[in-house]
Amino acid sequence: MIEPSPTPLAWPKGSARRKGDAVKATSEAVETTRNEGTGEFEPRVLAFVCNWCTYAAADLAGTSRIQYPPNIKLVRLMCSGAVDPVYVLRALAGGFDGVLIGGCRPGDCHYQSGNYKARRRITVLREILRNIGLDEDRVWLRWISASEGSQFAATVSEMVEQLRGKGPSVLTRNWNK
Amino acid sequence: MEPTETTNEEMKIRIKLDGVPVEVETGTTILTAASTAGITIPTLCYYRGLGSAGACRLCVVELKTDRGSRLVPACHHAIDEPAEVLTHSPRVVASRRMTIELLLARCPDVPALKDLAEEYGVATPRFAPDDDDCILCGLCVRTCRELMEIDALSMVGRGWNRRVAPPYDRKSLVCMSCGACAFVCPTGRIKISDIYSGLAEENLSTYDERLVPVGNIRLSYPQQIPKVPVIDRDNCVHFKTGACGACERVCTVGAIDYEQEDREEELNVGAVIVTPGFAHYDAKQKGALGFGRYANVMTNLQFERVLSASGPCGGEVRRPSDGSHPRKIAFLQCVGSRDTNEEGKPYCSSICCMASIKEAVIAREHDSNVEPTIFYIDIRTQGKEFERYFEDARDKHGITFRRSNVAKIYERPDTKNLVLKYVDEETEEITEEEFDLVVLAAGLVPHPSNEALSASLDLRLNEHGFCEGHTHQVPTSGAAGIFTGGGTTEPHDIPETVVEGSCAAAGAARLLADVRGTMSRKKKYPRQIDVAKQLPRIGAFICRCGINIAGTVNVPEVVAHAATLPGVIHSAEFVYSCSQDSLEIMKEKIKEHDLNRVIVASCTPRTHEYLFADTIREAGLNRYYFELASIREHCSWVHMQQPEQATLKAKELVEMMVNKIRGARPVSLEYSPVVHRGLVIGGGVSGMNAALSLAEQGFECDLVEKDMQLGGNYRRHWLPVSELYSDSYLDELEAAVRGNPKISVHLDSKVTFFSGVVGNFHAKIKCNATGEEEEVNCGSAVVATGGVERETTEYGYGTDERILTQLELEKRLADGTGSLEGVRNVVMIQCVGSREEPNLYCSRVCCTEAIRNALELKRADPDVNVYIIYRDIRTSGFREELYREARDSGVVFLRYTVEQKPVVEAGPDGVGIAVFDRISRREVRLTSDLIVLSVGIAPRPGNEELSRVLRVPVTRDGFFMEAHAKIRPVDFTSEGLHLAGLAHSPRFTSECVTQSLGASARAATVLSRDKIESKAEIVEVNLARCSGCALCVSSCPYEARRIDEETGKALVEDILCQGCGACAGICPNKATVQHLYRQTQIMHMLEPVGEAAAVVEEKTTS
Repeated sequence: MIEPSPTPLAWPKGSARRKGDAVKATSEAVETTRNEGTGEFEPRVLAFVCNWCTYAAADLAGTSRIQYPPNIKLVRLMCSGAVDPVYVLRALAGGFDGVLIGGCRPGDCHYQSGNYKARRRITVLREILRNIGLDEDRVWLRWISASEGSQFAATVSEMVEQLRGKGPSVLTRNWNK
Repeated sequence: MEPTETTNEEMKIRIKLDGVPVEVETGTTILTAASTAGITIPTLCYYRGLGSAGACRLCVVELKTDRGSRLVPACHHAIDEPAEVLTHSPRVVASRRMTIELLLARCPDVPALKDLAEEYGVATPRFAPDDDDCILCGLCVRTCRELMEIDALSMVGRGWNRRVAPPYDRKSLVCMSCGACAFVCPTGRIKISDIYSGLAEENLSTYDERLVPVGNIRLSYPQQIPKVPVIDRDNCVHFKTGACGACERVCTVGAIDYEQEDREEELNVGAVIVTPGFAHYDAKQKGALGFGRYANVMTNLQFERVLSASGPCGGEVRRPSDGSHPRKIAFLQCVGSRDTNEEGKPYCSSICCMASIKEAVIAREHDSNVEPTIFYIDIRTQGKEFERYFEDARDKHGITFRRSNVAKIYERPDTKNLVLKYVDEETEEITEEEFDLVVLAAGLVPHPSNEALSASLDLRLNEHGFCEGHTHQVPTSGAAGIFTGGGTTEPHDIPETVVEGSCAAAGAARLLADVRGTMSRKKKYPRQIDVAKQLPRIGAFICRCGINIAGTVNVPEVVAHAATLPGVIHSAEFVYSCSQDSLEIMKEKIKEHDLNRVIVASCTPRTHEYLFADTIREAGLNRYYFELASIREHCSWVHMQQPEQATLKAKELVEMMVNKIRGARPVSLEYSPVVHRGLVIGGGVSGMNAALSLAEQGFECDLVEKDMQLGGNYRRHWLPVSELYSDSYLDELEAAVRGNPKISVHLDSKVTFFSGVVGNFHAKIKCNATGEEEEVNCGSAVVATGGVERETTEYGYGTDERILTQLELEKRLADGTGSLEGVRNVVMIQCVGSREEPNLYCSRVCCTEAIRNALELKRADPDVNVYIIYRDIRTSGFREELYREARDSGVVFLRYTVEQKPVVEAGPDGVGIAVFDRISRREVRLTSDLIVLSVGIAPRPGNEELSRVLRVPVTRDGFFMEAHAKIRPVDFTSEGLHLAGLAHSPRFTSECVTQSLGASARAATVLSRDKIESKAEIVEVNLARCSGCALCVSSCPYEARRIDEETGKALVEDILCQGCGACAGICPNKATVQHLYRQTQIMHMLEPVGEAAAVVEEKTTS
């Protein structure tokens, strides 16, 4: 059991985080493991998934022990219709190489029409990304129902594979120089 | 006390494990010590619960003591002196590589060895490869001896002749076929199927329809509640012989208790609902179809498991004999149903047509090479929206439908393909066709427990063994207060079953109305501490989940990482966070460190989120100061081969959740009081039953009828609609409604305005005659506005008085004025205006109605000729008996297709009718005295208007649309609104009554509450930011958002809001904020974490 000394918490209001040494240390360790390995570029993927279908599909993939690349992290929202395009842009700007949005299949939305809203928004967002010279194929929208654990795993694998081929996003490409 | 402590200390030894000092008890093996410290040492011959053998030599480690360094097997070497242990030193790795190389040369095809070879970088062995698959680890032998205490197999031979074998190479007589040897075998040499083949009855999964074997400790099925495995006492070796007991030894939390006994409990109850369901027809009884003899003949339920993503094939379409992908699949309908042979059941099983069509479509979706053919007698897709599904299956999904009865199936011995022998409908010749797989639509039979229950509960069973009666009007038992429904009473589809469940609940609620809520207990929570102004003080608890998480993720590293995160005051790990003592520790730590936010990193939120949130509530925190990071389902279980990456991901997931919870705010739920009064729209049989049921459950209600009298369509029935309803049924029902002081009847009225929220609706009822409007409040409402007989001009209806509808015929049959005198020939035409565009649905009742009227005609005068011209006869369930009776009494059935409709021509001597009969394949010309049209049921024309008033949807066909076709058949998506009867879809009177009682039970779930609670994840508006653009209003599917006319700002109806967050996503000013998913929280989650954070930091600082 590790108990850090209860130091007074006083980081300035509005600043989200203090960048601790430990974070850096782990990250360095990770860098080394990656470099020691294949040295291949490992894309970082963020997924916004709806509570009712795709998150449940990810759970099912888990209980079924279907293996997929660990490059993805999930953010659970109640509905794919709640995905603000700003979230996607923020994720892309913040170092993620791809963003997956997962919702219920057409007609199956728990909230009647949220997935259609997501479809409209993401279509427009991809258009915008293309117009400002970014790669719109880094943003995926997929319908994965609660019973499709294997579909979820397959989608993640496919996306990671494709992003690996694309290399780092232009927004992160120069970070390591 | 003292001596014990001294001994304890004496027994502890300090050793260094890979450079890390650890303290272990004397006698602990190195393997155990390492696994406690989270270090993995490869081994093939070690098994928890068994003694060690040191046979595979993979677990060798380097042991450095005062006497020098040597290699020892970690599983076998007990630590008895201070030492330094290196688990992955170059010497160790070299030794392991050699071992792996040798083993791999012996067994080149064993997956476990291949994986190890890859891990240790061993290429193709230098030695000549053998083709063995046994590494002689002896696990099986030791298991059999040590655990099962028998020696059903042992090591025989010496040197290179050494092998594992049972005595004399024959299956030992002492073998119990327990399968433990196969379970522990690391190479897959011993196969469970070989062992089970010796059993009289294989231990097969009943959930997976006997397609796969199961172990003796298991979950019955994945969705089991509670999700706790049980031991199969009938097969468990420990229960049979007292040996084994391995599970007790390996269970780290001591959950195994062999002493547990079944317990009898006595309960005093006011009502009993009996719903054991139904059983599946044993297709083996149909010997000619080969089920049980031919591997590739399966039942529809088995095929459903094959198609299921969680089934034995993971959703891939495979056949049992060789696991190959079948191309041609035959579905055989009515196996054991509609069958008057001794081994069959005479009734129709109702669900199989739709089930087979659905399976065929899904099979095609899973594998586009599949070519399904459905062999059927009649396609009975009489459910709501089923007809469209059937038509799409045939026209869009390429499924072949063949109206033929398969007489015999035989198997080709070489390919295990199946040859079906049937008479082709088109050519009328005996045809043989080969298929890869055959699926039998085995019917439904009464549940075996019906008989025992019938004895103990005095249930009435019908001749088939199903329970009789399902509404409280028709008691199911001689004893009062016993209700049943669903598959217990008749083969039913899911929506009917669900409705009957609600109906039974209504019956029970009616009896127990006076004592509702008197025995319920409320949990007490401490006063909530106000921490909103405090800085975040986060507790992070990381769960090992036994080895489920800790087996892959390095949990101590995650705990250490969590401790460094800003705001985290306390971080710790639990073996099982969800265990009672862990929850107590959690509460203590909250108090000890003044924690005001908690995250737990463990399983999916669906499992224990509520438990943890409730725990922090017990510690005085708002339960929404809790977040859960799923590091099991989304991490350890799906990245099992990449422990380092999984650990990194777990850290990042924890960090994201810490970032999220830092911005959490307490949520207090809004409550609104409930008006304990119902509103029923429509005063037919459905509406009256709903109102009466609500009143009997103790709620006042308003019943609104558009006509001058109650009764609706039922008034147009002149003959009893079924034996369930007596001639005076309607009068009695009306008297009961009229006489009930809780019901206010509004005749000649309609609902013109409806607003409000669940529990507190506001409606205006307008009287058509006076134009006066009455305002009423209600907590929930039931729509039972009924349907109408379809108007038609087809077949000359309206031009000749000899052409009439079934209801008109019924009137003439009943009036007794002799208006049918002289009528010798009657022709009935089915599906007039139904089952074709624009009314592509089945009206469900017309086949039965026509047959009833035909039988009535025959009863009055057996010499009358009655012809029924039909497309498919849809007398589902026990109504099949009417169909058989009609055929037996000489009613002639001719079949037409929609492409070749009958032609009617009125002449002076009778109405001429010409039809091409598909059965005899010839044109039949008849001259008839009467033509009776089965015109079916159309939606009421006022549905559209009412749907706008209530803001509820209607289907393409114009009926009201329920929330979910299967599991919420009498609810609208808007909470508090329900529907029943013909407003829902065409159905029989008895089904309307069931639905209305079911709807009343659903309405009562709202009315019986004191207050309605809003959802936690609803949105709120930051008024300072709102510009009143109303984008939120247009994005809300629930009418929960509106613009305040005074301020021009957006508002939220808390109770209506369902928390989808669509409006929060679209709000351009971010004035709309969703609780639990605040935009600031989500943005903080997206902050670079882990690796990226470090990179960003380097860039910003340099």
